[in-house]
Amino acid sequence: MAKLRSATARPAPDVRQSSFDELAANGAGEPGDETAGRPDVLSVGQLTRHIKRVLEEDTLLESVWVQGEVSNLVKAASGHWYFSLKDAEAVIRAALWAGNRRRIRHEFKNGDLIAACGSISVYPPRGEYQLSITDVRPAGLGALYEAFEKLKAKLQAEGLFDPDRKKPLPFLPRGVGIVTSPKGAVVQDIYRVIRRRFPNMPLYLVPVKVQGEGAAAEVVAGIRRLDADPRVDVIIVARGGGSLEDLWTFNEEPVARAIAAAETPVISAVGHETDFTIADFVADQRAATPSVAGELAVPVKEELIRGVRERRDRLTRALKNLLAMLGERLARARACRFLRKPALLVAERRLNLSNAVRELEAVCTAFRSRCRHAWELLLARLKALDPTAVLGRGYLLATDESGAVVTSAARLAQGQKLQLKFSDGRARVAVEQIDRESPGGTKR
Amino acid sequence: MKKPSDAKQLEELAALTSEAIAALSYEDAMERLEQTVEALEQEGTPLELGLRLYEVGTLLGRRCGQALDAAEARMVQLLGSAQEAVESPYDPDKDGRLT
Repeated sequence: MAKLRSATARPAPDVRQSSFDELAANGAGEPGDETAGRPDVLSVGQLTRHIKRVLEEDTLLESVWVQGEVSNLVKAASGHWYFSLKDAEAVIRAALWAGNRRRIRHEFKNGDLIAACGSISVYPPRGEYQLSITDVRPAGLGALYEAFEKLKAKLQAEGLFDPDRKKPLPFLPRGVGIVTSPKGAVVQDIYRVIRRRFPNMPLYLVPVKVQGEGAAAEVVAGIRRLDADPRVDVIIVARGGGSLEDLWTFNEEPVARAIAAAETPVISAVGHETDFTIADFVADQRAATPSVAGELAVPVKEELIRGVRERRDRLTRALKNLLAMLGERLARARACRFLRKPALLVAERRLNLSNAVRELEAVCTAFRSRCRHAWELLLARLKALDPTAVLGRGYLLATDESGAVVTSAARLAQGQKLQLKFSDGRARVAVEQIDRESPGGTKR
Repeated sequence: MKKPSDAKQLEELAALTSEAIAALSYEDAMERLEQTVEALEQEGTPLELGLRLYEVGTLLGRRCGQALDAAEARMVQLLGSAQEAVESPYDPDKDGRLT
């Protein structure tokens, strides 16, 4: 039996995930393959692997509801059940593993007509395929499941389940609206959880029938009424666990549409954690249980108060720090010697100023003496070049009447008028006699 | 140095009147309280602004507390029709029997 069970496990690692064509084409490449060289012939193993893959990858066969009569039911010691499902046309083997069986509430025996949900798996060693069952319901529910799937697909196609349609729940609602039966554990659970978390949260209950004739209309009216009530910021639509028929109200289109149309965020808490209804898909938030719905609806008041208190403490601390810091700055300022003796400030500046002036004067003096020195040097050089300077030493300068300097006796004529320039005056004379000498001779 | 947006936010916080604060929801008051605390915790806040922020923050904290306590603890069931509403107290421990 354990062997059979392994057939439902994930494909073993040695199963090649190649396509049929590849399988056929590559058949020759398989080591030890007797069909080598004949690519159109597969081994049984290859073919079965392919069949297994085709069946197990099919999305319809991953989770399918099938209705049939139970026969050959074998209850193994391991807790697994093996049986066949049959109708007038066909038979299919089915396996219900112990783990799944314990979760299934519907009991059945040989000869019973049941609806089973499961996936198709292939067991290659026996060349068998079977339905691995995850859920069993009494037969006759097929129509309901069909209706469920149809409505689900329709609303999904309309985008009613889109995550971006979901409204965020208010952080702190002014009031919580509840649509559920006024009797029983559901309303009590919601009430207790909300009272515990936020003791003064106003609750508005619209008591409704949650199953049977007219229940859907009451639920719809309740949702609309709370949605229109300005005191209500979040709505809980709840119902306890039950069979598919019991929960059916919450799979009805008007209920789904009322939830979708509500402007107030809606939390659904219908059935057990494992049950999903259309209402759950449309609601802005699904709660696994009524208590969880209460937790989602309101925050814990004590925590909020703690948060406020913490901020207030920080505020006070921050102000104290600020004042302490400003006080410190003031003390530092007070400690400054200039503030204590303002005259010091003036004295210090004055000292700085006189130092600067002295320095400036020194620089000026140095510059002036450097200038004077340069000027004196220049003057001396100029003096040395002055031609009249030699007149003082007994030389004189003779010029003719045009003012040209007479440098040679040869150019003089008898009676010519000359002007003699001395260092301290001039004299006009006439040439009386000319004695020519060879060049380099003395003057008269 | 603070960013300009922070400076603007600071200005808005400091300008909050007690009337404006009293009209805030819990969440809005809490958000501003958080901002006020952070602003006051900034180094180099001038004294005058600091005192103003403290004042505003205290009012905001008080407003948060008020908002939490404002609601009235009660549970009513809405009976009758939407047009002719009847409200009656509801005691879940008595399975909804009218008290």
